[in-house]
Amino acid sequence: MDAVTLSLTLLWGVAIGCIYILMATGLNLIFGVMKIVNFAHGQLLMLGAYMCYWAWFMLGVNPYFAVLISMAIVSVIGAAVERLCFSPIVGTSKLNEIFVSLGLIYIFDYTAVMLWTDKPRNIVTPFEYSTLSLGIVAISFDWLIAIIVVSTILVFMFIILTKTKIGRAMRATSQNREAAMMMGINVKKVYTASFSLGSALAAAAGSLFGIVFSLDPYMGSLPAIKAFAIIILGGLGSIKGAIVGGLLYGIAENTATLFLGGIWRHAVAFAVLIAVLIVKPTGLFGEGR
Amino acid sequence: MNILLGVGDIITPKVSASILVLIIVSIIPILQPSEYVLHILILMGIYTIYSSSWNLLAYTGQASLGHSAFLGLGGYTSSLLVIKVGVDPWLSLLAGGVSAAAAGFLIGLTCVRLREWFLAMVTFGFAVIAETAVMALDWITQGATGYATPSLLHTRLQYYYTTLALVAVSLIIIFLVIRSRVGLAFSAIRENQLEAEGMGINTVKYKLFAFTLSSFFAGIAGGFLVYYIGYISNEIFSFHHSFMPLIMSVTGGLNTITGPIVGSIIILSIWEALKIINPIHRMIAIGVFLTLVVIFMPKGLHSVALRVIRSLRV
Repeated sequence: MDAVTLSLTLLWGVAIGCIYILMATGLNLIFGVMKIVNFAHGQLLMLGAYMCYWAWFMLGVNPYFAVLISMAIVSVIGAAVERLCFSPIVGTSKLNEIFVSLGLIYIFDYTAVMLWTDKPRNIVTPFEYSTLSLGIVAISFDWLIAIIVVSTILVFMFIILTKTKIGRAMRATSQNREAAMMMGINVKKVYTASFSLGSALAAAAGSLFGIVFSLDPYMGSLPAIKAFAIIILGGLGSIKGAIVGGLLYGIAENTATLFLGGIWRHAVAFAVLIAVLIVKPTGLFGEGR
Repeated sequence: MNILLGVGDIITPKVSASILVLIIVSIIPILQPSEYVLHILILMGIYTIYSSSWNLLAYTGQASLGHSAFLGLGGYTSSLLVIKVGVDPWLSLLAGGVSAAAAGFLIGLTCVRLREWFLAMVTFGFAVIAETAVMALDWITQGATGYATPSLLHTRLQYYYTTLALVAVSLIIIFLVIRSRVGLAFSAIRENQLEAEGMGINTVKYKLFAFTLSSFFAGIAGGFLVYYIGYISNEIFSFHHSFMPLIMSVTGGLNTITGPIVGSIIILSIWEALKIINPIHRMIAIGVFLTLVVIFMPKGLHSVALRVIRSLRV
């Protein structure tokens, strides 16, 4: 095993890990505030990717600008999904969340097939073939930009959560819903806002996924389930856990592909999860719930 | 055990209703239904066992998202034993159940300390790992290509009555377990694990037992399904198969014996009825159905049926 292959594997791991981090942060935000898990989060990723593709293909804007358009559109879709489907079941049984999400997965996936067929598509950026040489390895420009975009979005998320009024309301609601209500916070609005913000993050993840790899109607399921595994691995509700978990997952997956072959890719990621949970049942950074 | 005490105790309205249903179901073939109708009824039966096994686990408050691991394990073990070792097919069916139960016991060991989502994710992970193992062992399992299995019975009618017998036996065992002290311990753990521990219930033991028993039935269902369909591939581990028992149990009503029965009948009927429209529209329609069921009937269709029955009595 030479150093070049190994460092490339690590770089790939970090790049795909960044997309997982975006997904996991969005899910974590929704879980923290609403205490529900949206299994259909991957379908928002898929919609985000198609919106980005559409903005790039139809309007001819730069793909990285299209990411913003896609985030805006999907945040509106997310708000609508929350109002129609999740708001009626908040606080009921956990299985209801899984059930509604399954329904949404079928609806979104097959509406996408109907509208756009299941042919894979590519978003071509102006930097498609440019690479940046980092000593012994070269990394594609698109990946580098993806990593930068993810970091920027995470910083913005942090600012929204700590500095703005709605962000503070989200944190208050996630800590204690009743107390937040008594302080005059409109909890329903906060729910919609967090779901919408989470959807925007999924859209960004989807757009970057589409730019770096390719897009098709079924692209969302695995990243979503992995993002969920990541927040379990890192500890429910922990942002730090989501970042560490995301990178760990990306790297574990790519190392497994390198050493054991492609079919072990997904299994190894879950084996890591199970191993961590056997040692620490609340996840890496989770507190007992 | 108290239901075995006297004849008077045995003939409760519920038991007489079940016997009535059993009689009706056994005389259906006299009406000479088409092969297609029989086929759907057999599938409903197999899915009833499978979703009842899931529901039994959920009865202890443990929701599995990877039950297809046991379905697949039962299917692969029983059919491989027949093909490679030459075991008697009926014995292999039992062996499939036992191997699934053994796997369930091991998975249960890692799961008993986990709660809710943590448990759900670990079970999901095990299904992914089981599929990968089958793909990696493709010199035995032939991976994604799959292989044809020997047949257990000759006619569809034989399959129909065997399914009926299997469903009856499984449901009676599950009913007896739920009715016994073990079942009481199960629901105590589901309602409040800490309090159950406080009452001196060994929660680890009971949860493990539920896991093992549940995977045993899932393994039997898997073995029988594979023999009936006559073919097995890694498809058996798909998300679809993991979520099916959940969809059926929740539709029919969680934590009830009738729930999985009602659920598998409803879901498979809708599935078949929707075959007349274009497959893409069918998937969208099933999605809309699932979403609407939960939004308007959070306690399952079963609750609606109960409400109707209650209003008829008054």
